Amino acid sequence: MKNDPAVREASQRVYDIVLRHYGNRAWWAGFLISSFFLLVLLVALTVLFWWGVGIWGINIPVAWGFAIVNFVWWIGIGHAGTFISAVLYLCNQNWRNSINRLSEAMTLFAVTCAGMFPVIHLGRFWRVYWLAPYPNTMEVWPQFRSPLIWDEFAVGTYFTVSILFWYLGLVPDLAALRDTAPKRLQKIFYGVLSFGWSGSSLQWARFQAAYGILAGLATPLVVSVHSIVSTDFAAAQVPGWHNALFPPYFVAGAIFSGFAMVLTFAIPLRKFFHLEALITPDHMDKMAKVMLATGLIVAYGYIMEGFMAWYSGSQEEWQLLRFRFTGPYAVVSWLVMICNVIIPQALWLPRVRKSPLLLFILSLVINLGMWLERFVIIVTALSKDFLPSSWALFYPTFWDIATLIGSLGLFSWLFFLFIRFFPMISVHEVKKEYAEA
Amino acid sequence: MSQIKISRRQFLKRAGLLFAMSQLPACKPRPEEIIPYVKMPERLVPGNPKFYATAMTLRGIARGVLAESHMGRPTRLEGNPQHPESLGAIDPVSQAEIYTFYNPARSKGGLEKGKEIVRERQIQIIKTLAASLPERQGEGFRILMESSASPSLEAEVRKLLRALPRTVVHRFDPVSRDPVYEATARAFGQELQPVYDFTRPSFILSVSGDFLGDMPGALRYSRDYTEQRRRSSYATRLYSIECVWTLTGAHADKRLPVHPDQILPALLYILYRAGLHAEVPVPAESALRGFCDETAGGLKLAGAGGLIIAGEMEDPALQALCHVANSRLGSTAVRYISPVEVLRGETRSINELVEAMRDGSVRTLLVLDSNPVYTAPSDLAFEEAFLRVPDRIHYGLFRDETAARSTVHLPAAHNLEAWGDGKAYDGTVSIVQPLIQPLFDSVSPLELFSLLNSEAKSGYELVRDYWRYKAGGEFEKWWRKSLEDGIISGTASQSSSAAPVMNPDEVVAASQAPFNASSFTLVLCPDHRIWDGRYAENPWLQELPEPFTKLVWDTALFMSQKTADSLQVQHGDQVEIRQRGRMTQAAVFVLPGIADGTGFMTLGYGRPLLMQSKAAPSFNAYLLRTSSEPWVLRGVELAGRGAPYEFVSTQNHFNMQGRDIIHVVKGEDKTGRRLEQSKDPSISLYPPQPQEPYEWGMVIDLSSCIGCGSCVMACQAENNIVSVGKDQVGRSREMHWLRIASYFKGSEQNPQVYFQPIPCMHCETAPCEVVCPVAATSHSVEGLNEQIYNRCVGTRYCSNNCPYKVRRFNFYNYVDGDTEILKMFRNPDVTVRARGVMEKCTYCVQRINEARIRAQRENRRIREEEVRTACQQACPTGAIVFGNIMDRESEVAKARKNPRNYSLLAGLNTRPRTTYLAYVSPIGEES
Repeated sequence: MKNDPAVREASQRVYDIVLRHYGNRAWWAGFLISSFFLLVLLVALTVLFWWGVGIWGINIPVAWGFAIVNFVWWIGIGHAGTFISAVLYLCNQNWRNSINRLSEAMTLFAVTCAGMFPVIHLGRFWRVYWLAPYPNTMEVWPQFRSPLIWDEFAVGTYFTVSILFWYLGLVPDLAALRDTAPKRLQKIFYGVLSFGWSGSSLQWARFQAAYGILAGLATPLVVSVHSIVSTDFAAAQVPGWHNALFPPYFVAGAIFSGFAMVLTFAIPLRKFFHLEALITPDHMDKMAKVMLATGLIVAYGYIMEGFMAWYSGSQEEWQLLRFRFTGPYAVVSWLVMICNVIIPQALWLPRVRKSPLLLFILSLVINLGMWLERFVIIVTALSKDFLPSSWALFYPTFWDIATLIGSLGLFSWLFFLFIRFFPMISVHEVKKEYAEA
Repeated sequence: MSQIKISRRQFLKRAGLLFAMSQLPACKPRPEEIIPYVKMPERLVPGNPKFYATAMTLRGIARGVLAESHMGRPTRLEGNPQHPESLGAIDPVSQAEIYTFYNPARSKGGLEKGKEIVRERQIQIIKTLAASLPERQGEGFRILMESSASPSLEAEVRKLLRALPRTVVHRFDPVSRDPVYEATARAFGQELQPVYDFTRPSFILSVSGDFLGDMPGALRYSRDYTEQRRRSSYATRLYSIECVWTLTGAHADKRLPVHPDQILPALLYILYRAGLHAEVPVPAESALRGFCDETAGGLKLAGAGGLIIAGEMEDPALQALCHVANSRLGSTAVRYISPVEVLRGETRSINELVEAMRDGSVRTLLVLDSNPVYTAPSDLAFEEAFLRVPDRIHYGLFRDETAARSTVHLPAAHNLEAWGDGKAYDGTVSIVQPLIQPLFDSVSPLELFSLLNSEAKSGYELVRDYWRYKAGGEFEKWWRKSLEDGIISGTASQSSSAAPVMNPDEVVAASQAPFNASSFTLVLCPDHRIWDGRYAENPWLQELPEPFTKLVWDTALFMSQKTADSLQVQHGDQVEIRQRGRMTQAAVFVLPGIADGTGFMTLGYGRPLLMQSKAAPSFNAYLLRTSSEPWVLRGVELAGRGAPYEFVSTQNHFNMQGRDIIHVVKGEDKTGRRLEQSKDPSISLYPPQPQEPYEWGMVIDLSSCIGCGSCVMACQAENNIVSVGKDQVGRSREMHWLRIASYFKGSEQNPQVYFQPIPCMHCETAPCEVVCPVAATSHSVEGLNEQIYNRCVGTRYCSNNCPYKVRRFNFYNYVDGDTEILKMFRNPDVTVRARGVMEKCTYCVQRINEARIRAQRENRRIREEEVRTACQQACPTGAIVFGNIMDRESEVAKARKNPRNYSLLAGLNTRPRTTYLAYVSPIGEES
């Protein structure tokens, strides 16, 4: 396998995508479609900033709607990247090398999309800097008891570490691009970005140490970020939110949906850019197994949520549970069960795990299911809390949907830019893996 | 294409000119007339409001108010403590008059054949008319007006009629009190008005008699009734028999909804069982029989302490029967006075007017402050006849349907800008004094008549002249005192000593028609908020939730589930309502507690409004109304199920779902259910709040709350709360800081209703405070949960975490910052909130701070009576108590020690400062 020509060819192709615009037509098609949806987002944001959050379907009592659902969903998606690049790295799971760059990039862009939502959902988003602890003449600090402040720190840290980790891993590949670039401009561009990387043994040793440390730093973040995001809900006393189960349940859900998103992107990329040699069915099989495992944890979470609603003896919790599965949002709740619990059981079958098409479909189903899960958690709980006199339902508006679709546009737009300008697969790690093999 | 040849210099010049021209519209003078102070009047301190006593009229009858005036602008109305009806309380409608006064939709000037005219031309038109009248002794000149209780107006009209004997004045009220007078005429041989004294009776039977709701005197009656109930340790009993929901029925110890045709037989049976007249058939239904037997027993036992009170719109025979029965019981709770409305004898009906219009004998018709094109009974075809009159002059506040069909429209003056007077429900006279120069080119009704009398005196002179003659003696002193007090002392009407002349057996004999409930009966009622439609242009009232359904901006065809099933319609179905060739549209609203076979609709909706941006189409019940059947329409058919209709309510769930929300106890000394009450209130992760000399708290007595909505309106007026319109309420974005939750409990047929006003609870351990990332909501040392608007960034997390959902969010920039006139009556002490911030009840912190400043200046402590929240002040029943809980002698501290005191959702350990006193239901079940 040492000199597998297919691998060598595919590795070269990764560089060619960047340097020689390999697969240009597919890229342009994808980029233009993403740009259109990015435009949708820009229009939606302009309307939002002009009129206010009233353009969405939120109300009192359901004061959080799509924006927060999207936020939690995007943050969750980001998790797979960190999990793949850091946790699997520390566990010496070398198969990750084919997908870690993709998933790290996905993390960055997902966190970017996620981070946008808490800002734009503010009634007065132009005052968002008040959430930051900075010395000011008002002599007011943010309120550190608020889970939203925890969020800010958790997500901020996460984004910083993720971008460092991603960039560090890129450096050797950027140097390789610099060395093989056919055009002068490319040489300068990658030369600047690669920080004078020469590939000396000393540099490699430093690189490994730094990479290891960052992986060590990033690992707890996999657990902490979504745990803290879950406290937005768990620390509040709304029935359906106030639940100690939320942190692990959210983390598992995050990895579940994150892996699904990696597959959603990896499978078409592999096809269009002919990278089958690098992202093999074996990789997909392993990712599918992770999804199956985390999916089961999520299913356990659902069961425990229901159990606790009954076991707590809390009237509100129990009525909420019944409302979720029999009320006006019942379709959504049952869809969550179907998408996240029932359909993923197909992953027990090796045939499914190795079929790119089936996995691709499944990954879409899981992405949808996880988005709907966040919707159920946030919206149904708020629409039926303590006093029946204040209950009301949430209906999304056109702008809710436009913003969600627009955020998908932003994500894929960033992603397409990434695969045009940076190697989407960590070639140096793949080579190392094969060399060691 | 030709090129434009323009040099750089020319371009700059022209661009500069364009820019300058674009700024020109800003130079236009403001359209409204405002009056600046040239010299600062003495004793007027900016920021310190002044209060003037005046009166608002509803159905022609005056309710005393105090108008708060900031820098010469009236900003808010509250009750006049000296006025016999108000005693300091105020109803929602009177409070909303301040909006009517400044309403941007008000008519701002006259119209002649559709063209705007200046004030001089208006006066000229009236003068020309006045000059032309004497020639033919007023022949062909008619006036259509509503009932009025203004003595000075009476004098002016009489003067006119004396000078022009052939002029005819017609009187028409969409919600007429004529049945009251017909009834007393029958019972006593003369027109009298009953005045009740609710401090006396121990057993009350209300026969659709809504003395807590829309009866004149209701504010006083509500106060007396609830106070007497508290004083007697809930020994008084109120039984109510009615076909639709009234506030009185909702508050009754026992209520029975029955078909309107069953009410009279039931009443006769009750009176027979109470031994008051001859035998009548026994009702067939066991529920009805049981209710009647119980009521009869109660009446018998109470004797002189019994009272039967009939609704003013009920059949005169039924009302007369009640008067005779009260007299036979020897009831001490009712006395009779001469009618407070004036000109009853001198006026003729609208039917005669229509006849005259049709035969062409009316040359000029003056429609005074009413809108008959919309409100007149549909069988009269008023509009058609009206258009035959050559000169049609409409005088009114709004350019309404009648204005649009008139040749001349004159803008009317509001009570806040015109002199006048009016009698209260018991005859006590209040002088109406204006607080400001007329905002627009309007004359007052008195001035209008004076012009017609070719005198052209000012309203001030007219009122003074009238009362100078009446007062005698030292007039100036008397005048000053009457204005200061808001009432003329000693003007309450004397009780009549008339004895009944009617034999109840006549009614018994006449009422033997068998009850037939096979067809659907529609009952029309005035609306609790917009009355007969006259307040339809008032967004405050339109958005005040209806007490039972919490509907806003709308009416519906209300009926019970059983009736809906039998008519094969469902909640939300749009139907055509047909009766005798007349037809209107409505949507079905299923509401428990309405008699089977009966539905009801309220009047006043379904008009094209001038204020279109916020409203939406609704349903017009007037289209079905005839002069012979104004209230109860029998043999009504429903047809044509249309598309489902989206009702907009501020509350969507009326069932408590078995939750511990309203505590009900049997007696005053009983404690409520405390299953969830925290055992150890000190459990908290946070250190206890320090105790200061002032710790504010509020107690709301659920047993005294009648659900009238006065507190909601008071809160809106005090705290600059915006009405957001039907669309936004439909998205659950209403802004009321205080809501009255309504819950139905018990059977679908005849449920018990509970009203629960919910302001901010000001929790000691407020869940909203810990979740705000920017500390925009924080706890004051005095226990207030404060919202800092300019710090709020609008995460809305506080609202999510508030278990009471009392927080309101500015999803859009709801406040109208462009309409100048709306800025004039905002409370200058309360911040106007902009887009993107959260707001909520502050316990009227501006009032607390005002009292604190005063107290500090005088180096003393704040006195208890100095701080009263707006809701507390307006409440007619004293259900809301507010004050310093550290002061053991304060009413609020005492109320918190009441065994009935409980916290809402106590199990959450939020430790609310607002607590509730359990509902007392002596004959109901505890829960």
